[in-house]
Amino acid sequence: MAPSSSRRRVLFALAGASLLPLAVACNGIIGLSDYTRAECSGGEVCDDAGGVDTGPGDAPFDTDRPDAKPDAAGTLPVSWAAWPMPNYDAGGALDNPMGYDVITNQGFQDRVTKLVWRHPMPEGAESLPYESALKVCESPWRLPSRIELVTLLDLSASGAKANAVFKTPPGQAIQQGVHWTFSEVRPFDVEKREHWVVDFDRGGLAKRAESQRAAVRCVRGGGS
Amino acid sequence: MRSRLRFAVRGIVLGALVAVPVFADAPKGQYPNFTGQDQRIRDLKTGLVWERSVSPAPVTFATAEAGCTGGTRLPTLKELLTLVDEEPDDYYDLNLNRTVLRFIDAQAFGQTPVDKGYWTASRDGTSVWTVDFATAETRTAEVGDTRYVRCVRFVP
Repeated sequence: MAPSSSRRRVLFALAGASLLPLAVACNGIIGLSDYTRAECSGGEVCDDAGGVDTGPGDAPFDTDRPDAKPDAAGTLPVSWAAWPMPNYDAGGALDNPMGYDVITNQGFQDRVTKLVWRHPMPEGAESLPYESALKVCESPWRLPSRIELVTLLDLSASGAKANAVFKTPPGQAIQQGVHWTFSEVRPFDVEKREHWVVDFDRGGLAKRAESQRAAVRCVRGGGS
Repeated sequence: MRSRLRFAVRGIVLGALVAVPVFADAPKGQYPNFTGQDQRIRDLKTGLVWERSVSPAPVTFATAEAGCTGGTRLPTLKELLTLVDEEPDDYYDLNLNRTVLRFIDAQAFGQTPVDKGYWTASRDGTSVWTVDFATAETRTAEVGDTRYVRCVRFVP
């Protein structure tokens, strides 16, 4: 045994002792590089050295909530309505009131949700696959979430279920058809890769695969 | 005997500590703290106060409208869609003998059968919009069809 190698062992043991006392206790004098879990020097199985088992399914309680589970494509936020939904119609027959202020050169700000909707959208934004839709909505814009885009539905409208402001200027009747949201159809199927889309022709929601085409309406704001 | 009893009590207390903290699926600040006794839950963001119980069975649209009393009404489509949790909870349905997905906060609105959709007040011509909490989808239904009802009122 060369003296330099025994000195290295001591160094290893010192470094290990500061970080992993349990591992060191188990490993004794062998190098830390030889250490594998539940295996001691010479391949003997150690007694349980304690500590937290970090195997799958043993995630801390808080991350076991359904909303905290990452999917195969990485986590995308699940959106919730973060704005009031005023509706003073006791019968509920009328739709929730809608109102927009013009933000020059940008679009319209919803007086209730405070979200700013890009308008007009660039040419070609009426039919894009999902990846291109993401590119069109570059910072400070972004794609809306499912519940955000639902607020643009105007169910009292005959014909396209969109608010009239999104049909100006003339000739740019873009707020028709199915529009992308970033919200994934969950549980997310990595084969299908579907997102929720809002259908402004008929109202309501639908699912669409990323490779297919839909229209785009960008948004910004929202606080979260 | 005494120690065995103490052991049992300790087990129950420990079990309660682990099992009792119930988190809503909705983000913090969406729903207030609630207990099993609360009959309705106010969505702190939208201002909508939702009944936690639903109609015991699917009913026609007219029955649904008449069933919302005491200042409550049918929700509009946009209102009912704010209850949808995009991340579903799954539970095992003993009657169906399979796993069922539910796109709603399972703690706040555990009493939500999903074998049929829910009426809204929003009409589409002669049809009415409904929300399916088993799929998070929207569908139209005829007024003679039967769906569940969850009543709501808006409290500013």
